[in-house]
Amino acid sequence: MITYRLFDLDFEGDDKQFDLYSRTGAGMMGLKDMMENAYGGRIRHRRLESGRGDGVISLEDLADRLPDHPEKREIAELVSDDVIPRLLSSRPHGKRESVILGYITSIAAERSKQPVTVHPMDFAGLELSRGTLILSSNGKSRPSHVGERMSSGIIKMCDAGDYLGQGMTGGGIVASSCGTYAFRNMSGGWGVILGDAGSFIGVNNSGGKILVKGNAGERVGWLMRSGRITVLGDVGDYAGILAKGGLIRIRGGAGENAGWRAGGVRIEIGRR
Amino acid sequence: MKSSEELLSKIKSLIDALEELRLHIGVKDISIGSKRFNAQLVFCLANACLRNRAVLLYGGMGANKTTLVNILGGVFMNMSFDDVENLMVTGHPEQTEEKIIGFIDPRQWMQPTSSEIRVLWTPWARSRWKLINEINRFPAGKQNLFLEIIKKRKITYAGQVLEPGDTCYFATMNPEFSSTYPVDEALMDRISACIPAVQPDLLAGLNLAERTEEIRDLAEQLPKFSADEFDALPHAVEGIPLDFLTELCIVSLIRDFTLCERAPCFDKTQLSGRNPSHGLCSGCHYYNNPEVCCWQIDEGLSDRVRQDLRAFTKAVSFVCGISNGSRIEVLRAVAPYIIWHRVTPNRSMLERPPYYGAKRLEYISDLVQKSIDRTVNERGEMNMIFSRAVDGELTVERAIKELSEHDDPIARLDYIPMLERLR
Repeated sequence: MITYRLFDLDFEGDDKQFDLYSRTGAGMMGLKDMMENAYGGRIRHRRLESGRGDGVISLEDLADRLPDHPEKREIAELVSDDVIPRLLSSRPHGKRESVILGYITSIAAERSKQPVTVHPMDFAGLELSRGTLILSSNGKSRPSHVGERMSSGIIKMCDAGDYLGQGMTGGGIVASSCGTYAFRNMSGGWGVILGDAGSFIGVNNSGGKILVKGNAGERVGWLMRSGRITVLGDVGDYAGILAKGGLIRIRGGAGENAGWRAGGVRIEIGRR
Repeated sequence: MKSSEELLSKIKSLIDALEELRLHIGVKDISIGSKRFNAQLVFCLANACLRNRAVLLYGGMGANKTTLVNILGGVFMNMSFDDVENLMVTGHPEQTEEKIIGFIDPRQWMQPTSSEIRVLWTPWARSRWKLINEINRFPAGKQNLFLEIIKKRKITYAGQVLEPGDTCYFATMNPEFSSTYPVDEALMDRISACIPAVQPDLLAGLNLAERTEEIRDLAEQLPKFSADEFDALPHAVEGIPLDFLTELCIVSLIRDFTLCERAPCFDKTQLSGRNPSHGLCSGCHYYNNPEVCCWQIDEGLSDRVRQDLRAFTKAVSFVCGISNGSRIEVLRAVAPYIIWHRVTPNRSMLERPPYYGAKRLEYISDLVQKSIDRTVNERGEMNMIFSRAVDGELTVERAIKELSEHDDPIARLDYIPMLERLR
């Protein structure tokens, strides 16, 4: 028998035990005795409760609970009605949180019988399927990706950034103006731009209707296959380039090479 | 050499004198069992009883941080308050290594024979009571100087080495102001305990108003420790035993904070970039379970924390005169102060009531209580299974089977892999 001092306690054991403890890597002696000594026979066992904690309390909290590329359904399951106002007032950090917040604007509009007003933010109205969303104006920001992949409902806003209504399949958007690539890959629904639009509106569209009351940039209706684009002002060069179907009506003047290598699309250019 | 009882009696008379002379009247903000103490004073005294550990006092201006450390310096180094005050170094961007630790003696170049370079060490460098005042007013590069000093416990300059002996390190720090700099994480890990220095409450304020004499005059009335008594303090602390349950709670606490199923080697200290606050735990079945600590803290704890927990549990037990029974209650009181400055809580949890994003110490304290409660009350069975398997009373296969029914991070990530290696 050898006496062993571990921590501040003395324990006794034989060489064989010492070898065993050395093999565990713990270098311990009389471990069971020490455990019994520590617990004094008061051994209880309770399984770890697997219950989840309280509901979501912040955007960061929600982002932590979601996978890297969350779906709207997953967000809707976690977000209760009472927490939505708090989440909508959050400031997102990075694209992922912006996307999550965008989904939340849609969820808010879908759950509300009244129009929902939010401050201008990227991805607002993402995959909106019903209800009305109004983006208030702060006179500075031009949020991008508003109304992306929406299928129904209405979005009203002032100046929009790029990718307005990208991939939308239904519903409608009214904006004062927009940046580039508005209504790209659109297959349904409608969009109205009350002022000027940037370049590349209606790229690769297969449906839907777009009205621009002001001027538009170059390559209106590029690669368009179906749908309708009306511009009441002037447009830039290459209107309807490579388009294969649909109708592009330009009431003002068009730049050079309108309809270049297009086939099947109808392009009407001329003053009212 | 003085006995532990005599040293303890002197410490108690010092605590009483500090209060009677209105030199330190702090809020009694930690409780050990039924007794309540002021954390700022208790940890400063505990650090004076230990060696080569650093205590950081953190708080706004005028919270008696620097003054208290200087008063205690005078007591334990048997010096006047003014002399101790002259020892400390204070942070500002123009501080240099030469001003802090020493410089080459220029007189030696005038001598005809060249010998080994002589360095004039500053009083701070030579002292065994080192106060780094306003540590976060040193720019990051100059903070590294202290990292080396606390790490090596000796000071090198121009090839010369100064070994001042076992030293008590203290530092003070304000919250982030316009002219402060972030404190490096590695330096924070070398700070053994971080204590919030709060402003006196109303009653304490009234008591302090009764103070009429100057602090330096009052400090002279405090009992002083001789060099022998000062040197005997670490031995007295070393004589305080820690029971095995407390040891077990300390190790389990470290593992609760460090283990992570998704980290390399299940060790959160190996993480960089990805961590619990940045999506690491999404989908993990422990995630969002309030009983589990792992996902609530971004970093793991180093073994240095275990050493600090042991040392300060003993030292605080000694200073508070808790000589009998289990040290679990002391550990409960001490551990949050040892851990909270070293880790980053999950921000979404910290922002919830009742923490509101500001009460970081309280949040860590709650996690510590959960871990200790779990070890004391609920881990008994799995600990016994593991220990019986290690003792050879239970086959490893049977132990692994039984442990697999315990959904506890320590059982799953520590015990089972360890037993599998034993097979």
